[in-house]
Amino acid sequence: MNQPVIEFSNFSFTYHNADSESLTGIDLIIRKGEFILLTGHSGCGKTTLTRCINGLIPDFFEGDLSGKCRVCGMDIAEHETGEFSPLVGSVFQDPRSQFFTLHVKTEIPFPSENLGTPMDKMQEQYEKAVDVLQIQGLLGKSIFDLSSGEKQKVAIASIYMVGVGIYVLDEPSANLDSEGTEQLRQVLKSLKEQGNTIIISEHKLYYLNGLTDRVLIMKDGKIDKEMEGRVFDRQTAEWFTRHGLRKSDLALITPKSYHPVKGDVSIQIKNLSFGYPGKPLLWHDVTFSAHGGEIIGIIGKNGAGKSTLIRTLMGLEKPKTGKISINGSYSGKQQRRKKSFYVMQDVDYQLFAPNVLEEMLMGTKKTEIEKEQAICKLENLGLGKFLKRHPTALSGGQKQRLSIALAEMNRLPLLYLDEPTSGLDAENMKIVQTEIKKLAEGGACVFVITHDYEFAAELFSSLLLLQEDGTIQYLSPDKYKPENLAQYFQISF
Amino acid sequence: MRMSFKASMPDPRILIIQIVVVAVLASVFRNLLALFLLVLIVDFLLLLQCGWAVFWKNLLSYAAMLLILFALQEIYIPIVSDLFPLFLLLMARLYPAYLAVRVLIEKAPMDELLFSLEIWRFPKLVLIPLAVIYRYIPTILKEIGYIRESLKMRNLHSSMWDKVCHPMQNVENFFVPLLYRSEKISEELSAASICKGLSTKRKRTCCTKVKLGVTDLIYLLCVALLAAGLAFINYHVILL
Repeated sequence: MNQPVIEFSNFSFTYHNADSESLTGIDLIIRKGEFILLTGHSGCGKTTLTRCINGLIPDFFEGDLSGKCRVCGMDIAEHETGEFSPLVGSVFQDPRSQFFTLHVKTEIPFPSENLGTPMDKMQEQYEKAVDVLQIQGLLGKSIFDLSSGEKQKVAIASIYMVGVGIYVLDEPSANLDSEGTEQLRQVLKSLKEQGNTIIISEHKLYYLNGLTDRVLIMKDGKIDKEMEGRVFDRQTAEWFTRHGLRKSDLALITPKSYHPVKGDVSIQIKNLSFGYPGKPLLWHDVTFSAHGGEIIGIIGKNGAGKSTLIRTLMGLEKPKTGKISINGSYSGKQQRRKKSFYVMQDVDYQLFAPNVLEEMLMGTKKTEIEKEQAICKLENLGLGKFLKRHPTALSGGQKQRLSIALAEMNRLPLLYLDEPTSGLDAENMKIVQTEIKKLAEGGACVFVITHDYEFAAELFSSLLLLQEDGTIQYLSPDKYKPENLAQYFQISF
Repeated sequence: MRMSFKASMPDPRILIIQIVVVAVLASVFRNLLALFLLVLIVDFLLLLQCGWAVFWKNLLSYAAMLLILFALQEIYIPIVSDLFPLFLLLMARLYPAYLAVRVLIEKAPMDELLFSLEIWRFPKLVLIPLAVIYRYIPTILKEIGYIRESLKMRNLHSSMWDKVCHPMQNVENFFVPLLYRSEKISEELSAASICKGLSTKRKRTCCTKVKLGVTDLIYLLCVALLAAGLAFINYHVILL
């Protein structure tokens, strides 16, 4: 049996200014070469555990700890974060905020340079990292021009170059499309084959199927269940639902279609094309018409122009050609904006008020009736306790629910959601799904961009498919075949 | 596959000297023609990095600035002619230095810049915040764009009249999300860079060979010659 590299014994941690412990009585030994999956509800302590392993706790995120945690024999309470960097490499959830330089070419050697690796050795390792991770094509690019999947590859390459033995990844797939997720799987596989220790905290589980040695299911800061990866992968769909987890095998999911009740509003699109100035058209000749009550899925690769499509529909971008009508008559940008509600991928941008209740009442006359309505809607979404809380202090799932409550409050006929489930656990995903259906039943025409197969499986009534040649195929409710959904997502299992 | 590990030319330190030279010249020149030529030269360096669109934009806006300045000196308009030229003159003197800084930002890779400044014994305490600012500017511009859009979508994007009547409300709507996002990004960015060893007391190395070479000296000589030429124009060629 391999030697232990990470040891927790009766370890507890409370963040500075927090009311309760984030980790309680953790006893855990991770051996060299193990592939560990940490999963569980949002707020169960997964991320905190990864922060102990890369030494950010207690040096960067301060708090009270008790018990012991040793990483490669070093007690985390006695060493600074930087002392762990030659041994432990970290990849974070949001690829936008983990790069320090602006170009791939300088980002990859950045950690090695910080650690003072001699130039000759560095160049040798650089070539090896580029070779092993197959990223020759990315070297000349700026960080801003990479897809999310490519960004995560570059992040891994930079720590691979340091030659760390332990990789800690915190929800690395949250922003990836299915192709990016598959690339991530291949990289993790080759890291595992080379004998590295890998600790990954995730909600999306399917892409790790067959890779994990041990799964730790966490609950309320404790390790609730521990099982072998092989056993975990064989569990039934009911088992995953019962434990509030996403499925580890997408074959367990049977996609169904949502049958719409026809609402009053309708939107007609004719010959719509869009391209940024001086660049070729992103997509062209889009023609379709959709009605209230429909939930229209928008599927395509990262960078295919999905977000641009809904932004054009709702009136934030100007199309190159074509016409958009609402209820049969031409509708300009301003008019469309007044009829649309937009839930952005990053909800933080759209919360402005000092507390949750105020946020709901923004733009209304703030009468007693409206207040009551708002409170009632918040309570339905499980946010009744947080009326006086600052919106930004909510968790990711709660914020997403709040933005849906806002959509309900505004009662606008056209609703656009951009990746509403990135980073959400199974429970919150289910809530978002139910609420979207309720909005559609209320007569709204809902457009949903998603990479999340599990979320999409029971949601859509129709589909907009962005093809690689820049055309967009519309599958109306009678043409949409949910059994082909995996094929549209380009997932094979 | 063999990769090339050539350091960028010229050395970032030369580009820093260039900023100092440009800033000094811009603040002492009295001749508008000399100032304009200075901007033309620096803008040309920027052209090599950013292309024609940026070149023309910079050059034309500077020319417009100088023309207005010149016109206001010739034609007296009450109040405007008293106050505006002061402001314009300040801008006209800062603009060349701003362009020279942009040349550095566009041209020098961050790691070489950090490394070469460390050779000059800049303390890390100053270097790291500088590097963060460099990294942060493009990000914050994007963030501002997103917030504007979401204000628009919620019909909170107000007209000019609204802005005058309820200034605090508008400032709040814009700055609350911006501050919150900034805090979040800076926390994530700091955590990531600390994990990548930025804070360690070890001496940084560089993947490419950063060293002052003959090319750098030739470049510096060119800078000196051009500076001397401009100084000559400034003192001896009288405009109009």
